[in-house]
Amino acid sequence: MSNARTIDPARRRLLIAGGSAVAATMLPGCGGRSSVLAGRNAPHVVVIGGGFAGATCAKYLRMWSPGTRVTLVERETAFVSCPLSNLVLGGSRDIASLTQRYDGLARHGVQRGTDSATAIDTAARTVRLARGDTLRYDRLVVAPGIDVAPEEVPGLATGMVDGRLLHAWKAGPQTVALRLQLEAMPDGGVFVMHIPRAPYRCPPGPYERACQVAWYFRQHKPRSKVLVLDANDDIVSKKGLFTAAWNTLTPGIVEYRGGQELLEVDAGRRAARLAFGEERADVLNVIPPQRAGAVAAMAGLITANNRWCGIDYRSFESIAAPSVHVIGDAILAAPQMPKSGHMANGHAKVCAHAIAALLEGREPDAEPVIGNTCYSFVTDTQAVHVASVHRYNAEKNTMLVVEGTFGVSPALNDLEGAYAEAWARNIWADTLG
Amino acid sequence: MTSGYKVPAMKTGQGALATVPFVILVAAVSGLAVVLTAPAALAGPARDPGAASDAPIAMDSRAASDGRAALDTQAELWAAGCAACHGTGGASTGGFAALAGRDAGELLALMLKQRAGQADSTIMHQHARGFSEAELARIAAVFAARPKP
Repeated sequence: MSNARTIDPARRRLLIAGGSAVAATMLPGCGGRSSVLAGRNAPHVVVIGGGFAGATCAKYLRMWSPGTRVTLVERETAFVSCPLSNLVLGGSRDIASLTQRYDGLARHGVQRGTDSATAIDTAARTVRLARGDTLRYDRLVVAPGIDVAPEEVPGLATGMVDGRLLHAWKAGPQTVALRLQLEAMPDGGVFVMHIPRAPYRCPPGPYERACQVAWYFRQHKPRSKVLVLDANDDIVSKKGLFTAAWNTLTPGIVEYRGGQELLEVDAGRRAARLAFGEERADVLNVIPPQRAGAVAAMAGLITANNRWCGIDYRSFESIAAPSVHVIGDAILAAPQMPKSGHMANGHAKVCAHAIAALLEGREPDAEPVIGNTCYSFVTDTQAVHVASVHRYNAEKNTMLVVEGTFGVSPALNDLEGAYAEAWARNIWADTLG
Repeated sequence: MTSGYKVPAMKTGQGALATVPFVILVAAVSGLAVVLTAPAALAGPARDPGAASDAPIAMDSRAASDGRAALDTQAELWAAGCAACHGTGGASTGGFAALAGRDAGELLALMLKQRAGQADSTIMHQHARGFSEAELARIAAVFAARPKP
């Protein structure tokens, strides 16, 4: 096995023969500059999903395997960052500041279609798109993020249909709408948030949201309360830091209760029924249970708990379908691997690196390493982090936290507020630029 | 599962490839800072006996002997992890230090200090502990070989 990348006779043959007899259909809106090497006969990788995982993977594939054609299929015309989106609820950011176009990927030769997959045939290696095209692939990367599963809580799905109940767990219009509900709420009202059982996207996110809503209340509606109802027995992430924030920055505003299974939601009365009674809200925010995005099920990639996609961590290749890779929040993650944007960006690089190797007939890296950093804003300027490094262990066939790497901030601080902003700008550029 | 990864059979074909040297094409096509690492930069640093992992540095001897550039692609993947905060290729957009084109010895010394808890750090002491000294040296070499932004 060689990790060196050079052109050799085998690669020359591959570049010429390509993996696919059929070149990808050009998609509407494709801005990609086609390269000399990535011609009609080049291997073709299709990436479905343009979030932190998919966009990063498409970009790095073109950097590391310039002889490969890469097509990114994303239904939205712009990327909206979930990280920092709780600041929209707190009032210190607007959604436009979290929104970016996909144009930067064209500079890397990524072909992009604003489209969505409607059928995937992993035997024939084809992806059918809503606009009618069919793409053939040599390798498929599925990066669908999460789908919410409101049908798992009685009353939740019907409440979400007409927009009375918002989850705002995918940054975008719901984030803005939830902010408007908070603005319309009278002082003295109660914001009730329910957190589903882990694993869900962004473990510290709900507690950061509680901080942001409390920060807004403290400044503008000081008689109002935040009630956090958590299906988990205790705070899942950065417990000491969030508790310190609630006690010292917004004293008396946030009440936290663990072990609160949500039995039913009544959207009309804005009521959450729990094992021990009912809580009524002025603004009710239920973060629904989650599973891999629908594309994963469409391709038959869900292998765990009817929710997540099992993969080989050396390449993120699905254990259910050959030549299909899954990255980002949709995977069945090893213990202590959070569903985060930073992790998704890291999955994408391991996956792109492995695909570049596999297309050249080489083995993927035998021991990939993925780092994580998650910042949470506790006010408009102060932030805290959790970080860790995860390394593949062949014997256990899983990713393990490297000893000494897991840790959180020692205290609430302004310095990391600045770092959190810088982190966002850099990872957006690394993902999309 | 400790056996090697199942690598699909190579497809073969005939035909002529453009005669432009590959590495040049890579640079031209991607429009990016592609590391053309000098062989000297890949000479392995001293082994760290306490290292968690020290896979041999993969080099293609054919590449070295015929003068074409080889890449330490494993270290390139590790270095790509740094890019989430420090920018693609170490070309930070601000806030975090740019790493591209920095002296390898300086970068390694700083990371070793952070790893030991002897330098100011908010998160770098945690990230640096994810790698052995030898691995950090290879990551530093990747950034040192890139052009300054």
